[in-house]
Amino acid sequence: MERKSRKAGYLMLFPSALLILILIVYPAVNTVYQSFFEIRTQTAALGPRFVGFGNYVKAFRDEHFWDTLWWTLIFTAVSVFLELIIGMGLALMMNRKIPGQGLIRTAVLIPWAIPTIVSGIVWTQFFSQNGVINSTLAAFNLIKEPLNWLGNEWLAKLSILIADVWKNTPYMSLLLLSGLLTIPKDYYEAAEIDGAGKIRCFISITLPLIKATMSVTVLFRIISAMRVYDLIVAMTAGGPAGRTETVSMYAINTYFTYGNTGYGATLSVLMLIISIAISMLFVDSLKTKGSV
Amino acid sequence: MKQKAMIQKVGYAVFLVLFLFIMIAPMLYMISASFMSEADLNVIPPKLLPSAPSLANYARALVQQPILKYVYNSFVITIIAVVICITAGSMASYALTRTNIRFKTTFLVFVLAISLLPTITLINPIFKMYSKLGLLNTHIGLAVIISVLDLPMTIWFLTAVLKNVPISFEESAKLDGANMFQIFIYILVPLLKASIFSISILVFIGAWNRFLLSQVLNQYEDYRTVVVGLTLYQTTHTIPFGVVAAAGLITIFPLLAMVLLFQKNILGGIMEGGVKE
Amino acid sequence: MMKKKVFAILALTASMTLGACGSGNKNVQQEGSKAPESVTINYYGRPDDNGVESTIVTAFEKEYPNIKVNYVELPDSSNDRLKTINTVLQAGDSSIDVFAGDVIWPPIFASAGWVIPLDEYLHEGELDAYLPRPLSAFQIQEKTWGLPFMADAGALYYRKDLLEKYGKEVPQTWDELVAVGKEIAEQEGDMSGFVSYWKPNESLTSSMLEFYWEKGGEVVDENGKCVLDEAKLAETLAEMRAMIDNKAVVSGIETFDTKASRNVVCAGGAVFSRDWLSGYGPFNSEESAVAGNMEITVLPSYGCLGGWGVMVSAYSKNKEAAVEFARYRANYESQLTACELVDIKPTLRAAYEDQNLAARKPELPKYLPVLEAAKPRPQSPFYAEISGIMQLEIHSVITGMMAPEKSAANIVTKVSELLQ
Repeated sequence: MERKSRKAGYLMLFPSALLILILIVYPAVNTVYQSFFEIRTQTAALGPRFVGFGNYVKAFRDEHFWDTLWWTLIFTAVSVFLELIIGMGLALMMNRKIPGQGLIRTAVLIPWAIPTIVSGIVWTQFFSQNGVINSTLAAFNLIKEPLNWLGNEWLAKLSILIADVWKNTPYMSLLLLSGLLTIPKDYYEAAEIDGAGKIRCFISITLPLIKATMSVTVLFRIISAMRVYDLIVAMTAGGPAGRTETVSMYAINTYFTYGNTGYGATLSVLMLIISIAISMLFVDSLKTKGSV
Repeated sequence: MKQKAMIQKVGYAVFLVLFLFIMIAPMLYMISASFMSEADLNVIPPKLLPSAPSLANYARALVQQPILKYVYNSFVITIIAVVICITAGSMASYALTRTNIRFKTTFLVFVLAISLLPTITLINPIFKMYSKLGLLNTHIGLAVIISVLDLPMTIWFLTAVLKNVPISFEESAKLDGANMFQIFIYILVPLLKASIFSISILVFIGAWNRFLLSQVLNQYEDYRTVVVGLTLYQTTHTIPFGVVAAAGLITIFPLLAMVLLFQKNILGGIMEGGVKE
Repeated sequence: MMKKKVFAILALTASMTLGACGSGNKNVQQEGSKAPESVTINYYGRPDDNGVESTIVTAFEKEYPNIKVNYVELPDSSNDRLKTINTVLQAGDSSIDVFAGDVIWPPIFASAGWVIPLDEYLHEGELDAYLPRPLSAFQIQEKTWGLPFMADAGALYYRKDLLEKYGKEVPQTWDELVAVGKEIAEQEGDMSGFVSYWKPNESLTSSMLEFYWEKGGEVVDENGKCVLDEAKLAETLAEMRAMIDNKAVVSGIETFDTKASRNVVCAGGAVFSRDWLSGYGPFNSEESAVAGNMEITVLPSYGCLGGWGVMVSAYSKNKEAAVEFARYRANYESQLTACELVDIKPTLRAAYEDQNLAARKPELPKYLPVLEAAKPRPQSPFYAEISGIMQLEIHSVITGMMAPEKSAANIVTKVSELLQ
C-alpha cells in the first residue's frame, strides 16, 4: 500500500510538475542567464556581451530602482493589510445567513470583474480635479479647493491605494470565506453555550483554524500586489515625477520601451530574490501547523 | 433591549447600503457613461448622468471591434485554463497531503519560488517557444501558459485547505478497499467544492484579465481576448470612454451572470450544512 | 484506474500537439519558391479607425491579386505597439512582414538590424515626392529605412477671436506667448493663458524640447554623442515651473493627458494651446464651443516632428511583397483615403496641391508651414530611454519636487552615461 501510494502520488504530481518545468523554469533559467549579459535592442546587431555582475552593480547604484522598490514594498504592505482587515470583515459577514447575502456576494465580485483598464479610467475620472471625489468632499464642506489628487505625491499614492483596495478586497474576502466555511459550526455552538462572546470566538476559534488559508491568501496577494502595473499606468503613469512608479513598471519599461533586455533581466532576478525572502517568512508560519 | 437590536439592525442596513454603493459606484458610473454622448463626457465639470441617453455607444462598440468574438475567445481560453489549473492543482495538492512521496516541502517551496518570477520575463522565451511549436494564436496555447501562472497559488491554497480536512472519511473508504484515485474523486472533491469554487473564480478572473501575455501571444483578431480588444477602441491619443464603457459592460455581464448562477448552486448548498463531523 | 490516468495524460499532450499543428498553419505565409502565384504577408498596422486600414488593404489586394495581406490591428499607444513588435522581432520571428512605426523608432530598429533599407526597391526620384521633414525621420546614415504615411508635428493653436479683440499679434517667442496669454486671460476672466498636457509621457518631453530648442540647445550630435547644455536646460525647466507658479497655465496641467487638455480648449478655457496637428479637428468640430475660432500656426522656433510610417522587417520571408505593400501604404491614393476617412495629414507634397482634396478639406494648406517648421526628436537609438529620463526630471521640476538646476544636472549626467 505504501509503494502504491507513492507511485500514485508521483503520478498525480506529474502534470503540474511538467507544466511548471517547461513553461516557467525554462524562462526563469533563461532570465538569470541573460542578467549576466549586456543585451540591448540598440546593439542587437552586435550580439550579447558578457558583463558578469556588471548589471547587478549598476542596479545597486541605480537610485530609481531603489526608489521604486521602496514604494512598491510600502504599497504592498499597506494595501494588503487594509485588504486583509476589510476582507476578513466581509468574509465574516458573508458567512452568516443574513438578508441580501447573494446580492452582497455578487456585488463584492464586481470590482474584480471589471477589467483593470476600464476601472483605471473610471478612477482617474473620479480623482480628477473636477471629479466625483472632489465634488463630494466639497459638498460636505470638507475641502475648500479641489484637491490635486493625481498631481500631488501623497494624494496620488493615496488614490492609488484606494483604487487598489477597492479592486482586490473581493479576492481576499472570497478566499477567506472559503477558509471560514471549513470550520465546523459545532465549535461555535459549543463556545456560545460556554458563554463566550463574539470577539472571543473569533480570536480563539476562527483565527487559529484559518491561519493556514489566511497565510496563503496573504502571501499570494502580496506577490500579486508587488506586480501591480495596469492600474497605476492608467491613473498616474507613474507620476508625479515617477513617485508612484513600481518596480514592475520600471522593469517593463526597461525591457520593452528602452530595449534593455539584459538589465531588465537583472531587475527581474532582484525582484525574484526579494519575493523569495518575503515568502520565506510565510513558509515558516505555515510549517508550524504540523509538517506537510 | 429591543431598542438596541433595532439600532443595530438599522446601523447594519445603513452600513450595508453604503458599502454596496462604494463597491459598485464605478460600475454605476460606467453604466451611466455608456449611455452618454462624447460631448457629455468631455464637459467640465464631468457629468454624472446622460443628458440624452442613447444606445449609440453600444452600437459603436459592437461595430468598431468584434467584441463578441473576443468574449467568446476569452471564455474558451479562460475555461480551458481553469480546468487545467484546477485539475493539475488539486491532483498535486492531494499528492502532497495524502501520499507518501518524498521531497514534499522541497516541491512546495520550489513551486512558490519559481512563481515569484515576474511575468515579463516569460514573454520573450515563451513567444519563441510557441512560435516554434506553432502555438501562437491558438486557444490552447494561451490557455496553457495562463493556467500555469496560477498553478502555484492553486496548489498552495488547496494544500492548506486539505491539511485541515480530517482524514476520517478517507480512512473508512480505504478500509472498504478504495484506491487513491477513487478516494480523490468520490470523497475529497465533493468535500472541497467550496474551496475549489473559490479558487476557480479567482483563477478565472485572473486568467480573464491577463493582458501582456494575451497581447503578445494571440495577436490575430480571430484569437484575440477581450482585455486586449478593449485597448483597440482608442484612436489618435484619446479613449472614447463612452464606447469603452459600453464594451466593458458587454463583457462583464456574462461574467456576472455566470457567477450568480454558480454561487447559488454550489455555495448555496454548503451554507446550510457546513462540514459535518 | 492508473492506466486510465496515463492514457489521459498522453491524450492531453497529443491533442495539444495536434491542435498546435492544425491552427498554426492558418496565417503562415507560404514560401515564395513553392507557390509563386500567391503570397500572404502580415501587416501590423494602426487601429482600424473608421475602417481606414482595412479599406487600404482591400484596395491593395485588388491591385495586386497575388498578394494577400493579413492585417493585424495593434493598439493606438506607441509603447503598447512597441511591446508586441519588439517581442516578435527580438525572437527573429517571421510573423511580421511589414509594420507601421512611430517616427522615433527608425533609429532603434535600424541599429538593431531588424528592418531593411528600402533604397534598392525604390524608383528614381520616388522619394522626392515626400515632404522633406517627415521623410528625414526615416533616413539614417544616407539610407531610407521606411516611408512616412502620416505627418504630424507640434503646433501652436490660438484663439483668433480673442487676439483680434485685444489687438494682439500671434506671438513669435515663448515669452511673448506667456505674457499675451496671461493678459488676455486676466481680462476675460475664467480662463487661462495656455493649456497643454504635461503628464509624464512622450508629449512632455516633446513640449520641453520645443522650449529648449528655442534657446538653441541640442541633445545629440550627428555621431550620437550627448551635447546637452546644462545651463539652457536648467533655464528651460525653470521657465516651465514659472509658468505654473505664475498661473500662466491651467492648474493641474501636470496631470493632464491629451483628452483633458482638449476638453479645456473646447470649453473655451484657454487662449493658447500646444497640441499635435490632430487637435485641429476636435477644436473646430461641432461639439466645440470655440469652433471656427481656434487657429493653427507654427510654434515659436520649432515644433516636434511626429507621425508614422511603414517599415519592412529584416526577418520577413517575403520581402518583395512586403516592400510592395509598404510603397502602396505610403502612396498617393492611400494617403488620400486616410485623409478622407480619418483626417490623417498626408506626407506627400502632391496631396496638398490636390484640388479635390482641398475642396473637401480646406484647412489642409494650414498644416504645411507647421510641418516645415518641424524638427525631429533626437535621432539616437537610445531616444526612448533619454525621453524616459527627461520625463522623470521634468515632472519633478514642474511639480515643485526638485530644483531646476539639480534636475538639469541629473539629466545631463544620466544621458551622458547612457550615450557613452
